[in-house]
Amino acid sequence: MSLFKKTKNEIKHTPPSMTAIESKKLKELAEKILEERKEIVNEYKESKYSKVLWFTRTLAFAAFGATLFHNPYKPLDIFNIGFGVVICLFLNAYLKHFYRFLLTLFNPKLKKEVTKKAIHHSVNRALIYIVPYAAASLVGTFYFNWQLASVLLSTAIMTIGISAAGEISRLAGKSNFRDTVLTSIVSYSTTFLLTRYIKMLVIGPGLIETLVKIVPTLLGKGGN
Amino acid sequence: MKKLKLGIVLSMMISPKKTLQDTIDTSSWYYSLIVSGLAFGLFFLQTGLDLFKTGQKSFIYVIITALIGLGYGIFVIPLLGSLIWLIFKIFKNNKSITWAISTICLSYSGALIYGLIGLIFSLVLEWNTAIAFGVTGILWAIRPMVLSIKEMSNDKLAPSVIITTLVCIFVLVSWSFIGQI
Repeated sequence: MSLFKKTKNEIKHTPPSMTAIESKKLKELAEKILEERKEIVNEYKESKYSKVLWFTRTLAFAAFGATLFHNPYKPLDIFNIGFGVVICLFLNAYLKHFYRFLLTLFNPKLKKEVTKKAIHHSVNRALIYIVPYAAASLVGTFYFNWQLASVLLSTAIMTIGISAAGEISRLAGKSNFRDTVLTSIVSYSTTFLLTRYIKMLVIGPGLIETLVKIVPTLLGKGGN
Repeated sequence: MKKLKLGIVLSMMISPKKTLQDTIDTSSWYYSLIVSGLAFGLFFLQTGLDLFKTGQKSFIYVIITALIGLGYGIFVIPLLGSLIWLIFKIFKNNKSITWAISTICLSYSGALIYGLIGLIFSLVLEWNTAIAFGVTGILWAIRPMVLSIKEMSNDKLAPSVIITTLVCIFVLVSWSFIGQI
């Protein structure tokens, strides 16, 4: 029996009720997608919720920063903590804008349907996944004295990338492989650069500390 | 059993979202306990080995810690999965308890792989691997766990992030507590 005939036969023998169930399921799914989309669009309209997201995210990135250049001999060194916080807050801004830019650029149809702000809000939601990693990093660094912050940060960036694509899929109501590839490339390259150059950045806190100590002395001498 | 091959362990480590959506077979949920059991068994074994190599503990301690780890993965992690499932019943969680146990246990697939590699490094090269491989593997579980908890919470962001954070800290602190016994 040819494949065509076989398929035709199968269609003939498909009970009509089955098709009705399937169409009902499809309808339900479509309704669910629309509902979810409405929920996300409403979420970003609530400025209070957006502020909570922003505050939590900033705090988590700052907490990560506090552990990034941790020195077990000087655990509360202000220069190590401060430099790490600045680096991580920069990373937060970079990831946020890069993902927003890419996902808006490659989803023009979705942008028309739900507006640019809803896409931006989805990226903000994905960035929140830094929180468990930041908490693990804080506990690991200050309670266990581990040096795992950069490893955790790399894993966190990867998760955020995948989640950003996932949030866009949720908004669009269908998964898009291209978005996952795009955000993964950004995440991989950021992680690669971070792990490669983090050792160079380690000199940062010491350099700033030296400058802070030397400059006033020099200025003082100059004044004399 | 057909679904619990090495493939699912690897795919749960590399692409957990797709695995969660397509591959999880709840009928063989109890096989996922093997994954978490072995993952924690290897992790705790390496903790014991590190202490044994520095002469701080005896070999019996190594065996006992490995068994505690095995028990932790087989009993505590599924219990944690059930507890999470119960919490998310509030958010109209439509997943079954076996799905919750399977996904939470399989989240430690990465830890199992890291554990195996770490054990080789520990025995062959005599490295201290509990933190470098063991903890890294355990932390690798955050990502699949985030995704499975998110599925259970019906995509509710705040509860999934909070619960994942708490589970993650609980696992790290309880490991440290057991290690100090």
